[in-house]
Amino acid sequence: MELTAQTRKTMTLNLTETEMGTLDDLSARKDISKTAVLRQALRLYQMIEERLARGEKLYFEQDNGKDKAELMML
Amino acid sequence: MNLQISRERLRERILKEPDYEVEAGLPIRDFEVLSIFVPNDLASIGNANVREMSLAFGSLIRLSRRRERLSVEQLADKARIDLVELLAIEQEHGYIPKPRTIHQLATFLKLPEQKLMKLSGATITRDQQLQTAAVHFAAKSNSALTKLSRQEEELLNDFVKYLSEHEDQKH
Amino acid sequence: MKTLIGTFDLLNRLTGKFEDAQLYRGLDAKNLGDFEEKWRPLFEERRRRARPEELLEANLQDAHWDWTRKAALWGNLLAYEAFSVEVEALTQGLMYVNKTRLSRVAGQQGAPLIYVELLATAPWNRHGITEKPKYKGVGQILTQAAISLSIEEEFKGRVGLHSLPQSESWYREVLGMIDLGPDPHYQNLKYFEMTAEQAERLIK
Repeated sequence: MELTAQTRKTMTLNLTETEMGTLDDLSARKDISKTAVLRQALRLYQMIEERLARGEKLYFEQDNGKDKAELMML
Repeated sequence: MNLQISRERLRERILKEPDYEVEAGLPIRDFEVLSIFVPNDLASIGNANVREMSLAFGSLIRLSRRRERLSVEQLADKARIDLVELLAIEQEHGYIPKPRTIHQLATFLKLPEQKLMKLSGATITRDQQLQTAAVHFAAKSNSALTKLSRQEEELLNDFVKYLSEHEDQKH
Repeated sequence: MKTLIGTFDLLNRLTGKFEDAQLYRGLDAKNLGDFEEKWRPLFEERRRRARPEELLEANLQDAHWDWTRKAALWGNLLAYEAFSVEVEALTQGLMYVNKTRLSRVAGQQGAPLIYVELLATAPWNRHGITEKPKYKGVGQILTQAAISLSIEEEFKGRVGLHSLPQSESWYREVLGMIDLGPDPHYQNLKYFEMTAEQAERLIK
């Protein structure tokens, strides 16, 4: 017996050509469908929002260990 | 989601494979508060009195702080916890604090940590006696005065004694 | 929200017979209650009996608070999912996974995978805790769940995790995962990954 966790809903997106191009690129790079790319983006966005709300900070850091980490999103 | 492997094949694997330990991530036995993994609403479903207990927790911290003659800032500083969170604990109904904060407060104020975890809502509990005692304590405590009245002092001492001695109720 | 994926089998080592076990996607208050009331006391008892050299996990105390802070996010975010295994409504195993991490394996770096944040079995099933561990197969069922989820998410069966020291043989030999060595960002626990090819072999 298998129960579907949640039913799915369909949404139409309005994206520019460039945006669609980016979506295609990411889909090819990650070897996952465009829907899967957007799902990942949603998960990441929600996670970032939640952690920022808890007072955490998001940084990008260079691999060389010298350059200062760049604060993102604030 | 379906499991890709068939039931029969899975059974065969389990029968034939070596008998090893399988733990991954951090050892779960070091977790004190598994309930933090659960959606906030579900955590409250597990304990209908979480709000009342949370009030008791706030009162307990506030009275204990005042017994030490400390301001909110001073306690936050000495216990090395976030000031905003301490204010939320004392003033915000139903705020569930971070486990580390509870640990720091328990250590600094010399209160039983596991009981505090349950009172604060950080851990789920079904201990009816604890809930009842907490509700009574919350109802009687108040924050009108800066120095603890003798009544407040007695009330606080009684509740802390209860927490220290109370045996966990298992259901 | 908890949904039943299916009924499978666990081997009862004491009787030598298989018993029905339910695999669920999600956790509920019952699982938490089992952890609090049934698992914890046994872990604590074992801890009290342990000799100091056995408590290597005590070194992970500092990491503990980072962990609880991290884990506080799990229940509320899309990125995380839980799985549980039960026999007659008693929790035998738990697993939490993260869907946003990427592969570190050369040649497929950046490929998304299912990262296992936590995989744990009940103390009565563990050799390290009791002389007569009961059910065998909880780890196998949960790992299969991680692989199946990975396939469902289009991650081709790729799975990553940090193994506790006592479990390295399981991940390396039984599951055939690649050992990428101690991770300095994770208390030097060894980081393992399963490739799509290996996943394919395991589901057959």
